[in-house]
Amino acid sequence: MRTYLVISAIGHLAVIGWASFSFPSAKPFEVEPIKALPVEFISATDLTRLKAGERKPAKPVPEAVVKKAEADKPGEDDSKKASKQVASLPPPPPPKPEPAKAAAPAPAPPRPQKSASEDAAEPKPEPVPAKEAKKDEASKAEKDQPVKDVPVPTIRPRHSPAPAAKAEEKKEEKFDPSRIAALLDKAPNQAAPAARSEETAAHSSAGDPRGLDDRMSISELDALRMQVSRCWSPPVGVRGASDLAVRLRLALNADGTLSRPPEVLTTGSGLAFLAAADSARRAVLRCQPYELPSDKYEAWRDINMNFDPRQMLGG
Amino acid sequence: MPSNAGDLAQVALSAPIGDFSFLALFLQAHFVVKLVMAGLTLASVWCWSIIFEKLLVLRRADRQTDRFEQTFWSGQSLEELYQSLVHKPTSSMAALFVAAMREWKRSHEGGARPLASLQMRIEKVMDVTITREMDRLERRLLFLATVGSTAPFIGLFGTVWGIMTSFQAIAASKNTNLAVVAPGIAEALFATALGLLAAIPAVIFYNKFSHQLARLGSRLEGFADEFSAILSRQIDERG
Repeated sequence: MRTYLVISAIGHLAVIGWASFSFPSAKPFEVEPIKALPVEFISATDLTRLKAGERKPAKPVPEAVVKKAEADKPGEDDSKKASKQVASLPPPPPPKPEPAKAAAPAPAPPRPQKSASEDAAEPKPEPVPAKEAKKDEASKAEKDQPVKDVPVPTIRPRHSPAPAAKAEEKKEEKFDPSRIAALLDKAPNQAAPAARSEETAAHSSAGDPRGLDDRMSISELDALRMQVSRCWSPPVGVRGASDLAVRLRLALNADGTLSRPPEVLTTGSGLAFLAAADSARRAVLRCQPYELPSDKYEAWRDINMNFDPRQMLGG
Repeated sequence: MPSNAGDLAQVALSAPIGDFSFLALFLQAHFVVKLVMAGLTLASVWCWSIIFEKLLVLRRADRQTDRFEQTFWSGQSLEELYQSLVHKPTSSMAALFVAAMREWKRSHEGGARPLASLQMRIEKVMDVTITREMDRLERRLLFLATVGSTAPFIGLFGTVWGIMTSFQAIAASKNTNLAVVAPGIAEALFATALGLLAAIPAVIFYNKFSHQLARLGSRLEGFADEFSAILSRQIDERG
């Protein structure tokens, strides 16, 4: 029996030795880093704006995904491709470079421009304000994309402070779930910061030295609009009141008061128009100072605002 | 969120990765788990020594029984066969034959008349011999059965103990990251692996041996019946 015991012990030792040498250690799992899938939330104000946009007459809205920072990041070929794919999903608009935005990295939360919401507020979009001639690139971009105020859930890399790609969709196909799914599919590859084509009417953001968070959110714009509309008595009863949309340019001080008298941007003639313009100007003058977030002064220092009686009258 | 993910990555990187060799698994384990592992290893060693022994013994027993039956039925004189085997019976069946013959010869050496009770005595002697021989062959087989049925539970006990302590470690480190949990569970599962490793061969060979022994036992019984029939004919002829 002892011999068998010795044989068995030797065999076990051999097996243990072989096992401990031939399985030195488990191979560690190669876990791919989990890619974040950033999601943008659309606030209620976005939704109202979206609905307001639908009322507009069907207009061809070129939708552009502007790829940006390509020159900045030449290495990111995949991501470029990815954003190109995203761009080519909807009816293909040529991607336009948007150099005006390059200086100011866009913040993550959806922050459409002021004039975008203004456009939404009025049923009749007037895409070319006069002042935009001041800024070459900005106005060029604006002309190319006259109406682009239908926000769509977009995906952008969470970690990049740079402007992210955004696909803007047409009005008629405003919320196509399958398309959004396609966009989401592309999302993990879309690591590179790509520019989102946005309205550049706002004077604030272009080349602003303060960097990050200088644009106003929709809710803040709504707040401003509400403060103004409290004081505004629209020209009710005038014939053709619905056509008397007035666009004002407000120059504000940091404390919320007007630094200059408001400037009427809309050109019109006739007593009715003058009355409407006056009422709008009065409203703006009467309601100052406005309560606005002071840390975003750059954003609302110079602001355009629509006074549209049809909106006010529920038309 | 990103900072959180960074923390997790940090923890995952700092956690010990990789050393899952047998020795490391054994050394990292809790004392109770170590005890279980050592006990299971010893049980396995003992099991395999029993297995080796039984394999050889039973094969030899089969072969020698075959040979004995061949010579027994070859027409050789029983007396000669008895003389050749009496000092060193080669197999269980030979031992059975020798015991019966010895009883027979003792009854005849005195010149007494063979009695009917001789038949009974011879059968008794053969029964006793069968029991003794089977006992000898079945020795230590019970250990295989015991290990086969209890080793998985012992291993499971070690695993439960190890997981228990590793969960306590998780609670202490306040981190549910898998990298913290995994090494403890791996070393705990090693105990179950050892238990199964000891139990599986034990069960397999126990079944094989018990089947072989049952066949050998029935062969011995058959031979005892036949031999007692032969002897009883002899008794009647002489009587």
